[in-house]
Amino acid sequence: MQVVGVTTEREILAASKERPFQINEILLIEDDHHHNPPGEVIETKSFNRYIPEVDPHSSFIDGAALESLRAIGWDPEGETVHLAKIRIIDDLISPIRVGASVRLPHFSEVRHLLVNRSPKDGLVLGVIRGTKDIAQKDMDAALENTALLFDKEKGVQPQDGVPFIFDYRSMDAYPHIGIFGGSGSGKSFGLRVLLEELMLKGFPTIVFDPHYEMDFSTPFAGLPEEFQADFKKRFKLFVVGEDVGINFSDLEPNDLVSLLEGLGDVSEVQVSAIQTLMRRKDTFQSFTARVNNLIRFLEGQKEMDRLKKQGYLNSQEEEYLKAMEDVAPLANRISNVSVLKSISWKLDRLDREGVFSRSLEPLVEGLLQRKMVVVQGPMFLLRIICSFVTRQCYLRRREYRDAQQRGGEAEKFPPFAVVTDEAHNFAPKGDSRTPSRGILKEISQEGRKYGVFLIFATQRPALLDETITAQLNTKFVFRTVRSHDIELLKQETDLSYEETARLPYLPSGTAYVSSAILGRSISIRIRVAKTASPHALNPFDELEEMFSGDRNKLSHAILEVLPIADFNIASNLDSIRNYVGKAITQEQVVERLQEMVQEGLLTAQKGPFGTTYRRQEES
Amino acid sequence: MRFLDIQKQIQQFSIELKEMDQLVPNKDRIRHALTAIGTFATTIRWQSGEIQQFFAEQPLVGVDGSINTYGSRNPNAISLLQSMAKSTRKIDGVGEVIYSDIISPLRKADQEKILEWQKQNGNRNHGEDAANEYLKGRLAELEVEAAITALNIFNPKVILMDGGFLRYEKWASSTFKALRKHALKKGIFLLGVIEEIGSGDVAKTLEKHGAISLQGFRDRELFYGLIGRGEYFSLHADYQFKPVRDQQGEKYGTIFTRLADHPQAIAIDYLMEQQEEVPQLMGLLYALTPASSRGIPQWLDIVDAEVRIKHKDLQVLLESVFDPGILERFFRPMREKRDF
Repeated sequence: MQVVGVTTEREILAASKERPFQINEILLIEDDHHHNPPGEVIETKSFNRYIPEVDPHSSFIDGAALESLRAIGWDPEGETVHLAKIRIIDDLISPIRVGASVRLPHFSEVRHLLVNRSPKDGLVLGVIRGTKDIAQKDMDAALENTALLFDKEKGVQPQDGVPFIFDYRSMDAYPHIGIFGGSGSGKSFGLRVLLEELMLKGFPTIVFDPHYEMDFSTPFAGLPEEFQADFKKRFKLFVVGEDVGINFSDLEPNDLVSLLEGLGDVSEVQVSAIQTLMRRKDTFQSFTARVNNLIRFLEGQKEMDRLKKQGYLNSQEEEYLKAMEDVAPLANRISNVSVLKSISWKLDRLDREGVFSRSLEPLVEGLLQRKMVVVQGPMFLLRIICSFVTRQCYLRRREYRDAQQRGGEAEKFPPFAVVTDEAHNFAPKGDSRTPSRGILKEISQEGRKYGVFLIFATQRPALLDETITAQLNTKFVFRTVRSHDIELLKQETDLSYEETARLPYLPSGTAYVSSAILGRSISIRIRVAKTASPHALNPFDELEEMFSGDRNKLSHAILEVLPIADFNIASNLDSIRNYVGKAITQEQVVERLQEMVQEGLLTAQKGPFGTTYRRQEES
Repeated sequence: MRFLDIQKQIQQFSIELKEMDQLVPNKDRIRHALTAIGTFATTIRWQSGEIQQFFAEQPLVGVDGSINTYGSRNPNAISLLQSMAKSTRKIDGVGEVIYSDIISPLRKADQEKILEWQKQNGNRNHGEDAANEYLKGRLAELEVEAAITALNIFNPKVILMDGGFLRYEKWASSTFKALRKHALKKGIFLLGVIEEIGSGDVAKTLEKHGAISLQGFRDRELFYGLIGRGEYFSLHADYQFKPVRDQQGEKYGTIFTRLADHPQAIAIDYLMEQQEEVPQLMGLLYALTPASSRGIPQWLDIVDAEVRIKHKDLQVLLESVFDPGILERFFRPMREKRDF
């Protein structure tokens, strides 16, 4: 391999007759003046002067003559020249010497470019592409078999290169991670692997999971024993409204406004009403009672007048008037009934979802135990919960750290990460009043100081709030097809022109890592996950498995009672029903019988009393 | 002369040529006349199977050379010569034999060689002509040397030289003699492929024995459009075998043939000792020649492309070795400095 053509300080062209170049592979350029710098292959080409592009004047197109030469042993393919554009990784001040040799490096020569942490101290996320030859040559044994791969056709595959070990500890200087990719690009798979690694390191993490996907109880099938891991004790699953909720008494008026905003716009009048009505230490019950009483007060003037005139009042009526007197002063400030009704309706909705019937404590417990807590629920609820939960935890963490600084006392709270898929729904660009955006933005800008990190996955990075996008110091970019998103990635990452051109064609599970921690972008293949997603079954397979089950049972039930004829279906119905375990109607039996005839399993014979069905072989 | 006068002259010349053309007898007459002194035959392209069988494990070797000169007039010039013998099969990863030489009349050693050459060859030329002769001779030598080395390394079945034997006999006779000897000893077919027919022997012989007038046509004009695709013409033994000036006995023969679509014929020189088999080889040459090419076996095109020295490359080489001052003083042609 040799440097040819015109060189610059940044790029060279290399040629080889023996070996085709691999994209993204790292090679060493033997130029002592520049201390033998390493370079990365960013573009490859092969050409053969004897098999040129179509040219009407070229006589090389004649296949017959070429065949004759092949018969005499000539191999025109052997005259193929392989070219590669190589980007120099070091910062040089003068161009590379033309004619310098290029060779495969020893692992020790390029280790600093590929691996910065051992598997113990970093997150093993996958394999660096283009490093197969270097790894085979002389990579450290400790790095082997740490990142197995997966192929849809062939199953679990061995590691075929240097493992990519993400230096997560450097997030104290370069916090926050973005994971971008279209559907089917392997983004969720990549997120799963990242979360598995965080669990193995025991880093407390909150995951907001709108897709009900982040379950780590099922191990991935077909993994060798040394590679397996059990995550059941490392994570906890919570469903909003069932396992986890919000303690009303912890809410400030602004918090409540935020929560209600998750259900729809909250007008200024409503905001001021809430601020007027809410008291310290209000419970859900006490607050809703006050709201409803005020409504009754404003609507029930006539009734109250009537009762006041009435001399004698029973206990109920007395209580009623008392309550009305309590709220009377408020009526001066809030006279609009519809505002109150709107607030009341939203509160009811949240109550029905169970938001106020549970508390956050189980979640916080999980974090304190250094577990991953996964919160699942419908998107609109998750957004509400995310805002509140994140702020609570962030405040507690901040209090603890600030107290530490001052030398004071505060309840211990660990550093943690906040993870979400569909992040553009939690922190969208633009004016929309999304409850969670504020706190997430704050964390993106201030979180580093307190060890609070964001990990955002989304299909639409162009829709994510720009301040947050700018703060994501590490970005994993999977296959992206939309030009808007690609444009954004061009600006927000250090991907080269060639790399962004390849974004729509990246195979599933392959990603570029663009990170301030690395200093250059690296192409990786995500390792096989150690756990399986609950949605892993192909819906078409599911249809066969699940829904054909019933039909099969019915077929078997029928086979048991053959021969059967129209007139005695009814008498056999009970045994058929028992067998299937469901209530089957006569029509269903007849239908199935006819289908089985069509399928060739049964024969149908018409007789004086109707049709008799028999097994195929019998008749 | 003014431009209009030039035009007139060219038009007159065109008329002259047309007259010449008219006066030449038609194709069939010439063909008939030629049958008096030689034979026409047709061949069929060999199929891959036949080719494989014929060659077995042995390769085909093609030989060609290239000169490129940089500089002003003689003697302020420097020439790079290169010859290549390329084999269709590689041995230990090597497929070519390349010889090269650098010659400049400014170099003492080369001056001596030029004089020596003149002495050996009749002392007829001086200055520029002598230098040019020497270059031609040296190139021919390099080509034959490459052929001999390739013969030893690759043990080919057939060697194709780019050009006729006359040139090698003239400029590199002893080396060529050695090549002939080795080839005959090992049963290797040695052929010279002549793309531009420069001879006049057939026309002369035809006029003498065929009772036909050819208006000064030489062989090139004679054979244009005369031979069909895959057809070849060889003179009878008596008229064949051009003997070489001063040799006692080495003779070679020539076949005229047309292997491609366009109507211009080529010539193939062969060794007399191999005259029996050579006509049979025509089918092989036919198979190796692309229909839309310039008419010679493709392997020679390939060798030619690889051995060729581009003027730019030579210039870059010289500029990287010589000090600019020296290049300027001794070699730089003033025409490079022309404004337009």
